[in-house]
Amino acid sequence: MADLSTVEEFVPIQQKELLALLSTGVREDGRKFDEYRKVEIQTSIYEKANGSAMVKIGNTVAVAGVKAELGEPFPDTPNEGVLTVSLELLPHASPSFEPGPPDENAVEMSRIVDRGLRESKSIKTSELCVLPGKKVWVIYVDIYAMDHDGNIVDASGIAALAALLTAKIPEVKVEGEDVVLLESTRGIPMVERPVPVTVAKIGDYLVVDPSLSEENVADVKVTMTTLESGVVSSIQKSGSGTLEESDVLKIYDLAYEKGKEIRSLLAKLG
Amino acid sequence: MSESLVLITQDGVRLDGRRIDELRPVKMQVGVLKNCSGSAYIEQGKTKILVAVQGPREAHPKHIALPGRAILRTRYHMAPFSTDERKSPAPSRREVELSKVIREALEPALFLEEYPKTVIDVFIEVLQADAGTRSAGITAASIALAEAGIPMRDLVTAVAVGKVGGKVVLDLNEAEDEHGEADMPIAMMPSLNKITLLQLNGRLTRQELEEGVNLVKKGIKELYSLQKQVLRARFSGAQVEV
Amino acid sequence: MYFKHRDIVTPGDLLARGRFRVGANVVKVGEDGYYATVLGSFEVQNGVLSVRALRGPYMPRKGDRVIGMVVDISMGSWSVDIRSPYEATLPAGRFPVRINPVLDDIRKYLKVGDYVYAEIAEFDRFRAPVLDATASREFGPIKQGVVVAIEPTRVPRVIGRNGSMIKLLNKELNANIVVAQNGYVWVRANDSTTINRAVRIVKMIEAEAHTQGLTSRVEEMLKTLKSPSAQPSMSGEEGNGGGV
Repeated sequence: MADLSTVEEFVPIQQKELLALLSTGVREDGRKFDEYRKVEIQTSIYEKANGSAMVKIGNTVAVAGVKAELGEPFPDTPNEGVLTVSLELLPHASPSFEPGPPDENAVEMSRIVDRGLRESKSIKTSELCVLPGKKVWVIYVDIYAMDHDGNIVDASGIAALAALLTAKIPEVKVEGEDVVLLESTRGIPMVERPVPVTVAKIGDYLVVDPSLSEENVADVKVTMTTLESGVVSSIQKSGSGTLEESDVLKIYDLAYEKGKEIRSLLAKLG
Repeated sequence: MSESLVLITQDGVRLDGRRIDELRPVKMQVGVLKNCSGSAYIEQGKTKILVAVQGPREAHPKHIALPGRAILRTRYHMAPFSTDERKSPAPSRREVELSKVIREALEPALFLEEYPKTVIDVFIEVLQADAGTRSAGITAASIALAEAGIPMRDLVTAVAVGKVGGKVVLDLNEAEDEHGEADMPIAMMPSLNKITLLQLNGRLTRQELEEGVNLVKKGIKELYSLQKQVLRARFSGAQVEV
Repeated sequence: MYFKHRDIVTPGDLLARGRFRVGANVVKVGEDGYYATVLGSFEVQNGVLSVRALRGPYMPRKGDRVIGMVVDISMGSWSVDIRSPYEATLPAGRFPVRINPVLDDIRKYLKVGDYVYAEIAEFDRFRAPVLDATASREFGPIKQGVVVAIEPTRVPRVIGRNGSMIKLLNKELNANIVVAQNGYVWVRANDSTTINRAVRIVKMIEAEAHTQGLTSRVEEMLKTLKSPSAQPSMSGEEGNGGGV
């Protein structure tokens, strides 16, 4: 039946050129393989949100807003606060993003960022309980990707983290069954600072913080979210390429290193 | 982690009696459906999944067709009766994400260039969910694709490792997934030693990550040989269960 | 060589290392590794490694004789399902009877649901297969007999080397069996009993295509069918013919 002897791996022209460049140790924009673009973080930019942040990684821009509301806990965790994370790709960000229900890429990215925050158990949800079994703080983190030049996931995850770290929620006074919101505020109790780091694989090369053109030719991307202690709390391989076994720890090491650098940027925030 | 639930004893015996490197009992069948190009059924512990492959067939609408290769489409779906609480039949965000990662786990194995302008559809229906559904779905889908005669570089085999009671273990069941500390499904093309699916939720140290990858290879090796066995039996004509 | 001739292999099996020529369903990886890409039987012949697939979609080839079912009609052509990933077209101009599609309604000649026997005149990566039913008197609409489907991969076995199997069946059964490359088998005979027998034997060959000794089993079966106790009955039952 099929004679597959002439099947070659289909390498697009762009990828060939990029690979040639990478073989000399340099990326299209001159970065080293383990170098991030310039990361800028601004916080407390939207007054009506409990917390907010804008993160720019190169030309990629993501904005996160935190809103805290009192609500009912989940039945299986009656004494714990609730965290809801969502990421949306705005049509502003790219001609290829259309308004309407999220496509599989948007859903995947949103869930990657959500898991990064949730699985790390970074928020002490037990300290967000107001009336056990009845009223808890529900923390909504809404992230918008506003400009897409590659690596929306990291920009979004860092924005969400920055917004949470600088958020202020009202202190409460409980009188019987009533809850009174006070003027004074406190921060959201956070015990970890999970940082997502995305690494793209182009040919055999691993490059950190892929730009848009790198994402377009990469066979595969891996996002790993690490904590200060070196614990990894979320991993997602995305794309139809493959990884070598040895890539897993190489990517982990890159993610941990870069995670530390970004965490130190966050430490400088007010 | 629940106080009252001991997921793993000091000697490394799990709730269901397994050791840390043991798979749940697995049953695989191929060629179980008549009206599709290829099909497979898998049971892994209490997880039960049915897979159908349709195609390669003409891509409709025509504009989605790719000139140089086939498009692989994958639908991972959970039947409403597959879980403890009824799951709405409408696709959830989780199903959308899993459909994508499963497709990306299978795609590298297929010679899609052999069928330009066509579509190959893989339908994975979870009939009973007891953890490890995406992995079992991938394992079954790959033998269904092989049964359909679609040329492949290798079979794709998947299983999850996780952390339960502080220990890295193979093939979590539902209780372990729910109450454990980490769940890491991995898919590979075993002969080529390449990873095609890698996800983690939960917390692992670098060392546990490494341990997990090594442990998963053992599980994958066992499942791979089962896949080959069931395919060979199919060749011999019998509707054999392996 | 890690496998021998006629071994059952699966995708990803390393067949051999060294220097060989690559045949069907085998791929060379790296310097010297040869891998199977489908489930099938491994064949080594004259230094060529190939795998005969158990199953697989039928890929049209120019010159193949195929049977298809009409699924759609436009003014000047029929769309024909030939059980391949690609739908074929039979233009009115390639029909055995001269048709003027402007004056004639081509549905008169072939309608949706009809079967047609033709050959593949054109097929390449850019166009859908184009059928032609003018080159042989056998070609054209199928109006009698039955059409059954078998796996396209079994077609060579049912035809036999140089057509030996099909000649044997036609002679012994007194039937007219035509095997199309795309896995359709057209059976004509004088009575329905013969047709049924022919279909059953074809199905048996399909099921046992990969086994040894098939030809002699078929010959046995044909002998049994010709024995007096297996003469046609009104219901077309097999009588005590061999277990088909």
